[in-house]
Amino acid sequence: MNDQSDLFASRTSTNGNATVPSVERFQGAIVFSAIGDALGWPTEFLGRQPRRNPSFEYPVKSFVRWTKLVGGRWWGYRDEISPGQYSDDTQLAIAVVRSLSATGEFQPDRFAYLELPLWLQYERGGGKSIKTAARSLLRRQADWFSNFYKLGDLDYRNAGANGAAMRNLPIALSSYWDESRMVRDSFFNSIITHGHPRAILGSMLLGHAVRFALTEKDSAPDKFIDCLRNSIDAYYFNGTDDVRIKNWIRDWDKASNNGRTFASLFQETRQEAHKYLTAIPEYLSSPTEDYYDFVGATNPSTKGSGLSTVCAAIFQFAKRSEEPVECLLEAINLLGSDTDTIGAFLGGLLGARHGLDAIPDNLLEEIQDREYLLGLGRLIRRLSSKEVSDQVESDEPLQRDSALVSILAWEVGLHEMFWDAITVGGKVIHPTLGQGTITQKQVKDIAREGYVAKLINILFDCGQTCVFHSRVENETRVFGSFGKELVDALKDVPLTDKPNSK
Amino acid sequence: MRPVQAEVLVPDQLSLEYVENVFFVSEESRAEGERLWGNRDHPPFVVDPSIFADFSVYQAATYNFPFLVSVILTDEHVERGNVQTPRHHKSQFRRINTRTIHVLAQVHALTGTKGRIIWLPTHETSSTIFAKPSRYYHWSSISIDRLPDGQCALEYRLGEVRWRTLHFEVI
Repeated sequence: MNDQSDLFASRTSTNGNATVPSVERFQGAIVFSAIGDALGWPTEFLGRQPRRNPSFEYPVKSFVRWTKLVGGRWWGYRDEISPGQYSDDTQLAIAVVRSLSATGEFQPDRFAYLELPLWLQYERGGGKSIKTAARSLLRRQADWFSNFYKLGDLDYRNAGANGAAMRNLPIALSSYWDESRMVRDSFFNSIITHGHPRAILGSMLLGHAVRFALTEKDSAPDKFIDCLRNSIDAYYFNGTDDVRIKNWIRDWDKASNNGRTFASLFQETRQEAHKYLTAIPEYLSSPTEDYYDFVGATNPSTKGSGLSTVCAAIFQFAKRSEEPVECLLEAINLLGSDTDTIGAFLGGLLGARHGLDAIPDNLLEEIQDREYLLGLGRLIRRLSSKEVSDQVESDEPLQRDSALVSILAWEVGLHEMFWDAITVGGKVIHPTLGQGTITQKQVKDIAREGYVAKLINILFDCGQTCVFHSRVENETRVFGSFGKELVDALKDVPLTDKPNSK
Repeated sequence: MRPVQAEVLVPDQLSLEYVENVFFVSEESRAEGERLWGNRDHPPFVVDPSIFADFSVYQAATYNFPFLVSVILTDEHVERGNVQTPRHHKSQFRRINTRTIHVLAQVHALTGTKGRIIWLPTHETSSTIFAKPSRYYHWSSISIDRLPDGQCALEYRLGEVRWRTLHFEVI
């Protein structure tokens, strides 16, 4: 293993002396990723051979208005999705941006104990694994580096979907100059919700690809693929000094009921990644579907794999990165694949390569929360480049007890919103999104008697818009409330001795 | 959480002698209270952030509103790398040995909170937006040439709320 290094050992680092890529490329990556997500979201549900015509024009060439069925037979309602609205991929990437430190390092505790659980209340299109992981983190005994959840068929150790990679773009951008930090932060980001190497390796691989797109002038496919292959060869977990990783691997192995170790499964997944990457040049002149089929990106049982979807985006980027719009439109119209997530990955790569110039005006103007996304691009560049600023976050660590208390405080406002004690125009203060104004309230009938679905649109002062949702029983019980978990988690939190405390 | 304001309504007026304490979330807020009150007598002004915390039964305090923790003026250069250096507030600046006046504030911010520094009487303004809920250092500066001789002031605002006015003299 002479050619391998400790996961966190110092590797390529520019030490901040190299030319920093332009702010338009950071903004391009964030905004084009959101555009890819928003374009690909409606086509995700069509299936490879749609049984009926979609309600929007296909193939998709720009943002469309469409309707999504949320929930099953008894809980289901129709969510009207406006043109340009993005899904959970972008929501979670934004939450990761808010979890970067003053120096651009990922703060897993902030993401795991605040952003992720709170996201459940406004998520749009979130997958089962990630929602289970998010809920699990409200338990006091769950730590971000030990979130080994099991719920029915869902097992953390088997969670290999792209829910980790879909939120990794900000980490790749903020650590583009320090490969070692990028790998470490991608790993930490992944294991909060996903335990299978397909998710973890997919996330890291996307990080390397974004880094390449942002920094390398030569975009020749061979060089790109060689760079990625060399990068994943350098991972070596066994020698790491980080006690959190050691313990995480120990716990992973302990929970294994078939004798399989994380190291052996990771090695197998690495071989799988090599196979997928090595094959890219030979598929470049074939129809794109052929490569998707080869990596399992169109197979219903594997199409959500972190590794397969990242490789699909890497393939598209290698094939036609110099035609960014055509490239993205092909990806989001390739039915039967995970079009929104591949669209988000590919948009991030294309934006990092070409900057905002690659984005057609109509898409740039219509994407949800455009100004906020542009601001996040500026922020990430500022954090990663240590450019002159007029503010810096203090280095006080997040206190988990404080996070729980702030979520509890938010629960009060949340219930009042759903009980209609706060009406349209009313103000709320969210623990991570800040102050916001309610702009719309909708009540939707659902099949289950005595229940309705309530949707509340909020425009936050920061520029993000969210739709909070819940099923409400007879105008009283709000489903999805964190009350029970919070009471349990706060049981052992020290109290003040003030007699007049609220 | 939604912003609320507690009110106690009494007929006519309540004599100040019945007010035991007036609480403030930070020293800067108390000082601004003193400034606005002027020289008249008042009940004790007490700084106790825990009064303003959500669910203050818990020792772990959280504040769902932005506030100014501290703000000083100095003739020492302020930048990212030295914000934690201990400094004393100065209220008089001499042109002969000062080229630039620096302001350094410490802020508890929410996501999207806008911090604004206004130099008076010229009304030169600099502002910043805080990206997430956290404690921040925020700084700015002004060339002394841009200020007139005599009494000047600095206002620090968070959103539309003025949290502090610092008077200083340029000689």
